[in-house]
Amino acid sequence: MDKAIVVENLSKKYGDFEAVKNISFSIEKGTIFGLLGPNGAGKSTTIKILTCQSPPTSGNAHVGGFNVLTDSAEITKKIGVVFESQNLYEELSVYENLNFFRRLYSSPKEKISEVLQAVGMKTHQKDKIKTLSKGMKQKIMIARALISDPDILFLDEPGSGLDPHSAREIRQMILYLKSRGKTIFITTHNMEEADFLCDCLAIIHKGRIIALDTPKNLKKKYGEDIVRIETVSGEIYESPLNTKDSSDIFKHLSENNQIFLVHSKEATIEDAFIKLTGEKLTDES
Amino acid sequence: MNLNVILAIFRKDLVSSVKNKNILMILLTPIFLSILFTSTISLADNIVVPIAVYDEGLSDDFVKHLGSIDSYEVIITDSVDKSEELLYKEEVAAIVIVPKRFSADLEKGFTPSLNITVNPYDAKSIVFLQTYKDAIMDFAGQEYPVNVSLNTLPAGLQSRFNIPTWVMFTVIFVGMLVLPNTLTTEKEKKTLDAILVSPASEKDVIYGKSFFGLFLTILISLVIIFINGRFIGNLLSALLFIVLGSAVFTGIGLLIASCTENYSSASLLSTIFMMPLILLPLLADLSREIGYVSYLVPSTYMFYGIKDAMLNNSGISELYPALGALLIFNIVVYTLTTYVLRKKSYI
Repeated sequence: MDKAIVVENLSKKYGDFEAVKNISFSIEKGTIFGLLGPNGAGKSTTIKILTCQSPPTSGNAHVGGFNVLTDSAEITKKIGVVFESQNLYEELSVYENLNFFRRLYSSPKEKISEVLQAVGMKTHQKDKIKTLSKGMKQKIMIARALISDPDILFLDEPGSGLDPHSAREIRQMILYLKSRGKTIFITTHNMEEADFLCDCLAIIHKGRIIALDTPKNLKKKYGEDIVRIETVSGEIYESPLNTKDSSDIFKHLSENNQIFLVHSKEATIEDAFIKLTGEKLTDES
Repeated sequence: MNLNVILAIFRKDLVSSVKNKNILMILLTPIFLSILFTSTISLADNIVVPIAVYDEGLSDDFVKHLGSIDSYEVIITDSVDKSEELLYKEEVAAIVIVPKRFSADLEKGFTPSLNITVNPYDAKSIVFLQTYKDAIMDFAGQEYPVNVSLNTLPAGLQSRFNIPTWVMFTVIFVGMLVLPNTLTTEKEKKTLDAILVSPASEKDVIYGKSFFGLFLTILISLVIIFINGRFIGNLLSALLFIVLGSAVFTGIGLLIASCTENYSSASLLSTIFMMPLILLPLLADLSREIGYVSYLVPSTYMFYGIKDAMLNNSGISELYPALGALLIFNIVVYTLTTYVLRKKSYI
């Protein structure tokens, strides 16, 4: 499979502070790649480098086969970016916002209704941006990123600050875009989102990538499936699944008719993150 | 440089500015001030000056004579202190203290004293200072030794002398206040980031916004010219100065916006720079030193260029040094602005 993005030994320094430290990874075409980490871990800096907003201090990266250091004009034609902040023109209508960006990319006029249709906002094209909800604005952000029909989409914290319903809609939209063959690069600190969406996940911590694999493998490698047994007398036993301990406990309680409830709990990305960093990854982080 | 991108930015800024009340206010300010100034000048003919008069004794006929003059509103007081109090409270523009037996001494052919105090900060005092001697001569029965035939320019021609000043003010005001507003708002709301990840470059943003600023300043300048009469003199030269001047002040506005992080810092900085840029060409004739300093600012070249083109009918062949100076200012300002914006976006 071809690579959409290749990152090699990328570093970025702001004065003495090293925001990104020698990271390397590659992304297959048509997949969703997630960069998971707390705020300040280096996610946004990485996206800035890959979208040619900021040059790396050292190392290199290729996006869509083009070098970020020398081919920014080519890269900007191939990518669409959904920023973390909803940077739309609030006084202008949905149509006027999209029409402006359509002109920047020299896309045909018909593209506006096409992208609005794709994000389910066609009936809102005359509405001023400032009258829309946060979830609706996020859909317009995605529509804007799609206006040039890019091969690669960068989404910086796409579900951040959205209500659960809107966040779910955005996730479905991202999966739909993947089904249309788009390569999607997501940064997030939402583990559920990362687990649900990503084909490949990199955990970034203090500027370094500390794990890189599929979410399933990360959970398998760094997390543990747990069995939780509740007895009739209310006692709770927890033990890793498929171990001698868990079998012995189960056998013992079952022989004495003590078992009231048995749950199995799958390993999560959070378990993997805690194991790797010794820290919790919360929305407040 | 991508012409489609530049035009897209121009159109977007135009639509945004129509929908933005702050920008509309800034755009209408020079037009409003120009109309206000023109109407104030025409009202000046009918000014009535309030004066306080204290008669120390026996000069009722002189006080009555002052009261009979249409352009004075005489307030008779009973003491010097009361007269001064009215002056300090700005209820009168001047006070006249008439000494005892002033009228009688005048009749006898003596030269009596008259004590007059004016408030120079009250514009009406100028009218009093221009007329009080006539009033005294008239009372003494003396006539002015010369028959003066005083004429003034026809009303339609007077306002054309204001055009270079108003055009310069408009170009500086709009260029240095509207443009920083559009760019700093893009920075603050991070819409500039969205533009810069598209095929638009920093140069395209600068040129697109400059084009927008140029359009606005030329449009408002033409409105100002229309309000103040009509276009006179060498049209081509004047337009060249307006275009080059607009470009340089639009560029300075963008440079300020590129160097600052938010709109309030940009507008503060713009206001600080705007004052000397407007005042220096206007005050250049006051002293040799101010004259020298005024050559350091582009507004001087624009102001004198428009003035010469409109009032002296000067052509490009006579004005090329000033045009060249404006061109150099443009190159310097736009090179700096592009450099700063590129550097800032790469932080």
